Amino acid sequence: MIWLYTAAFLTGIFAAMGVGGGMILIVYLTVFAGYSQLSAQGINLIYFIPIALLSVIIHTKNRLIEWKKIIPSLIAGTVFSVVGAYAASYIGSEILGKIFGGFIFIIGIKELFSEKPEKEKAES
Amino acid sequence: MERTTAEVYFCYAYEILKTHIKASGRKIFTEKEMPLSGLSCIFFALKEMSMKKRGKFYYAVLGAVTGIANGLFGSGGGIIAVPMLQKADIEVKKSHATSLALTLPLSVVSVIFYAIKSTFNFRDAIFLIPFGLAGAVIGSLLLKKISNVWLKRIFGAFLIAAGWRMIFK
Repeated sequence: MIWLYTAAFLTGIFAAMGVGGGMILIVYLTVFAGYSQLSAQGINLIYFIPIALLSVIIHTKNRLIEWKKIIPSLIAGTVFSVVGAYAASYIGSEILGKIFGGFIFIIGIKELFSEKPEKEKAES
Repeated sequence: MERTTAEVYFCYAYEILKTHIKASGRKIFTEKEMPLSGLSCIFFALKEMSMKKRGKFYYAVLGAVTGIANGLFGSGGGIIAVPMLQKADIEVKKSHATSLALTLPLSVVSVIFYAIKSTFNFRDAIFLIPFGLAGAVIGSLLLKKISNVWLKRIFGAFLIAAGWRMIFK
């Protein structure tokens, strides 16, 4: 059990540092904790909501969110989330797991070649 | 059509995957193998079109791609949204915050459909939340002190290994 909580904790850290944690949790749940791909993804979505909600409240207070700009994104996103969710349940956990693997493989390569942002380079 | 660095990596990674899938004899896609290269060409073309004007269409495409990732993978929305927001000249901190503001409602929508359509482990998820919150607090404090570049690289290496395993196991 403790490893599960550790995974959840680490995911929180990574996510808050802007490195995208959800995928870590899903990998842990599927590879080590024996959940199906769909279950794991569902768990991650539920887990994400309260944490994101808290963050959004704080960020809104600090005026960090460009609400107006993302209105088109919210509309399109809602429609396509449904499309994605339907596709996920249609494809099924077995194949979805492999597609997910491909997705994170590609993201992994992108992240591996991360560079320090210009500002930090100038400061160091 | 000029390829950006990200697109180069995308094609590169896809070629690596394709070679190994063929070599191992695995059938991931059905007989009517979707020409992913064809799809990615459409994707890049759409991207080029939307980049011309960072207006509503760009934001709609941003939302659409983020939504697909959120619904299909239950994750990954932020990884897509943050760079795209930055391309729209939103500064880094705001991009991260705005990406959360976007993925939050999308996740709510996705959860509803996951609950209807497939197994739903609400209870299992609930227990993880406090740990995630604790991690998020620590993470936001840490971010003020240290750069996340090395963390991203480690994260990247982890994803490559995990992704590989998930495809071929």
